Amino acid sequence: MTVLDIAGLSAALHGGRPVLRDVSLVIGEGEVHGLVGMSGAGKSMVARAVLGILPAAVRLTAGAIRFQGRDLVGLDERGYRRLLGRDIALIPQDPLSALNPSRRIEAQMTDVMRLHLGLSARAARDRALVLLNEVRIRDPEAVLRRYPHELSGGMRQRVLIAISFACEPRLIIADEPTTALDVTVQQQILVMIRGLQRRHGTAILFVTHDLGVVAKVCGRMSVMHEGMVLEQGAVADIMAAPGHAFTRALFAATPRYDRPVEALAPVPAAVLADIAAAAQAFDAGRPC
Amino acid sequence: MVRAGMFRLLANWRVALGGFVVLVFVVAALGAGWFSPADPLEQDLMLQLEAPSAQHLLGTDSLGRDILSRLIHGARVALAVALVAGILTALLGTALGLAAGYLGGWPDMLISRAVDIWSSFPPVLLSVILVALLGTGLHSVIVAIVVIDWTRFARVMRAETLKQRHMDYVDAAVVGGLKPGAILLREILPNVLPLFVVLLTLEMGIAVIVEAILSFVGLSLSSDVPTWGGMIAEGRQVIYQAPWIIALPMAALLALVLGLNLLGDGLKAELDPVLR
Amino acid sequence: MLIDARGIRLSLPDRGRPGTLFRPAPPIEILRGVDFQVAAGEAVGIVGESGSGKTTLGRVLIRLLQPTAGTLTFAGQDITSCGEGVLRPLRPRMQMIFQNPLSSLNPRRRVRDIVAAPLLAAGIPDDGTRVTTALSRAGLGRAFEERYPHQLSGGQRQRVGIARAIVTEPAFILADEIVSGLDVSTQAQILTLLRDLAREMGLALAFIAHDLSVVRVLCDRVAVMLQGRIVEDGPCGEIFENPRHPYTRRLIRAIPLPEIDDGWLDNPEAMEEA
Ligand SMILES: Nc1ncnc2c1ncn2[C@@H]1O[C@H](COP(=O)(O)OP(=O)(O)O)[C@@H](O)[C@H]1O
Ligand SMILES: Nc1ncnc2c1ncn2[C@@H]1O[C@H](COP(=O)(O)OP(=O)(O)O)[C@@H](O)[C@H]1O
Ligand SMILES: [Mg+2]
Ligand SMILES: [Mg+2]
Repeated sequence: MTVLDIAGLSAALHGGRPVLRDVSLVIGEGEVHGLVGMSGAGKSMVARAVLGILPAAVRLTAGAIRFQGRDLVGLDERGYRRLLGRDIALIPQDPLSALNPSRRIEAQMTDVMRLHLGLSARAARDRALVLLNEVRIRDPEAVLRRYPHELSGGMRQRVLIAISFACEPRLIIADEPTTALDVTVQQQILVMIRGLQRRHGTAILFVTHDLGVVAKVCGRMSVMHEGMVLEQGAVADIMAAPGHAFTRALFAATPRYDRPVEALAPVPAAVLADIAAAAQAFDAGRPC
Repeated sequence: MVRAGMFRLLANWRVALGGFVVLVFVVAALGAGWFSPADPLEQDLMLQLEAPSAQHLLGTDSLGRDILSRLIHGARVALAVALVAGILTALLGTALGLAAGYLGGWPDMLISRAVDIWSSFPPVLLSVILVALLGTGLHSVIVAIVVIDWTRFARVMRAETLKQRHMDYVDAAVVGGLKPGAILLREILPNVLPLFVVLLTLEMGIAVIVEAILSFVGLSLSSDVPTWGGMIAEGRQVIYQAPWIIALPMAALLALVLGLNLLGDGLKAELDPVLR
Repeated sequence: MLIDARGIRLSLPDRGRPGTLFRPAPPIEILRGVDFQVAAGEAVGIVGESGSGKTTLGRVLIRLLQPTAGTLTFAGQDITSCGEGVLRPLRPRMQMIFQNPLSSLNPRRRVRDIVAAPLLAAGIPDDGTRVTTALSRAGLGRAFEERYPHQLSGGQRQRVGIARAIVTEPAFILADEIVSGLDVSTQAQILTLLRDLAREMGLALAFIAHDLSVVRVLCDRVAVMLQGRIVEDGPCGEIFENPRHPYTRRLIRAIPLPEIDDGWLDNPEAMEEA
């Protein structure tokens, strides 16, 4: 079953500059879809559009965002409030600023469960302990009593992952959830997200700039640049034979520790110029 | 380049409005002899407490002196104090703040303690005592302001210098082989300058108020020089018969202080190339 | 050896527990006996997770920090504890490129003045050609000389940092996480640029990174740091293909390569509780 269906989504700044151009992607139940591209490609913009939290300067100009068959475009704040945290959850990039510095972990974990699941304080606390166990926190009781600044970056990210799975959402939006972490911690977090995702059958839109991360945790992927999806398909297929010149260039620019590199090539200017031309053609309303 | 810069500055409404208000006072003060319709000291006991009229645009005071002329001449004292006291305070406080923030160690310790002790005296009391000791007059008013308010600059400049001191560009300057003096003057100073300008305009506003307070209690200039504080004190005596006499100098005071603060606020945003 | 550090130790007062007037903050040992060498013209990587002491070691090598114990020589001259007066004549020969190009470039100075500063300080006369040459070597045209740092992109800022570091034709450059904030394409440009410059100018590099893949592109040797010590070092090929220390192995296995590998998620080390 399709969980998220983004169809022909376009968005522009109020000044008129487009930031998303005809983005389409479909995520099925239990599927992890990687959204890759360089900074400024529009990845976060797609994530924010789904969550209904676009920056004030940006508005959608075309397209639909269907979540379990229901179009979210134009949904009001109340509608979103009922959806977010329960049916759609977020794993943010910066684990420190996503937690309230002056409230204990327990309060922040149980809030969302009491609100959406109608649990009593007692039941919510019990569920919080179960969730913290699931994200492999050794001493959950102690962590519940802590404040965010008393935890390491990795621990905070574990707590946020526990919160995002708290209400058994159908869809999780993860925007660069491991970019701020060390590689060993990143691996732990990715292993955990993937494990939880499999067990709960959750669909994930996984935003990252790291092709390596996509290769390890995603089943399908979309490559973005200039607000356009340039290539889309099964990760295994794209890894084996990237179809778009930009995707090939991205691979060529990514350093690897396992081979001595004589030439690490930046994305060629010609490739970028082609994409810019296609973007211009799209803006002018011409088919490309 | 410079003209384009001026133009951009004036596009900020705070800078434009604040600058305009301050400019009006500066022009009035500089051309006081020119603009005053009458001699500010000339008494006309037949015309006491006149309401505003064609002859006396803002009326007369209890000795029949022209209020508009007194206001314009009062602006001279206010601005002179603002300028001299403001700049002297700023220079003293900034020098000490820079030294404390950049050198650290015992100079910082010494200066910071001095600031703490200084700030624990009530400022109005301190100024009254100081002027009483130094004798009345403009110079003692200025000395009193400098002696009391340097701590404001020292404190803020020290904090800002300390912040800049830990930026990587300072380390880059050390690696580049620059000497401490050069680092302080060429690298750090330009970065604390916007804050300096903002504080300076604030301080000028404060100086205007302090001068008015001291005039009000009769500790500034002798009563034959018109000052806003003196006018407020005189207006207080006749507040029921002629309320505009106290209201007008207070309005002038308020306008000048607000103008200075607006200007400072606007400059703060405009002088920062990163914020811009 | 151009840079030769032996038994370097460094303790700093604990930031987390500020002391009082009578009881100074207890020092914590950040570097615990580090041996580290760089030969002329050689590029050596320093890797490890955040907090392992890479930046602190780098700052000791360039003598922004003074070690508490050990010896440090630069081109045979002992600089372990000499003052800034003795260091100043050496500064043109040892330079640094910073992690955060925005905070390491004075926001109020133009690119030309930023790049010229080390020349001016060293009293090297310049009619502008050295600055222009350094900038063009770093891939920036003359048009950039008039700009302020905030008018540049991330990659361009890092190029200004590189131009400033090479303008005095140094023998040694310390580069601390200089590509961390950049996207892969810009990262590839900067890495290639630095490698070509190092070869062309015979530069020695100490290249700090948390990303091992990046080190492989640029470095001949690599040192792995863990909790203030170097636990393993050697030629890149050897370390990456045949790591001996368990921590190095773990670090390498944690890197997600851009290829399908189902085993990566089953790494038992990644299942640990925290
Ligand atoms: N708050 C904002 N206001 C205006 N433009 C923005 C804002 N945030 C991002 N943008 C622009 O939108 C484009 C896409 O940004 P983003 O989705 O954040 O990129 P990514 O996440 O792929 O790095 C960029 O060109 C960026 O400059
Ligand atoms: N000035 C300082 N005072 C106290 N502790 C410090 C100071 N600078 C760094 N540290 C500590 O030293 C350790 C190593 O820091 P650092 O060298 O920056 O590591 P890395 O660069 O490998 O991330 C960290 O635990 C850090 O908190
Ligand atoms: Mg983003
Ligand atoms: Mg570091």
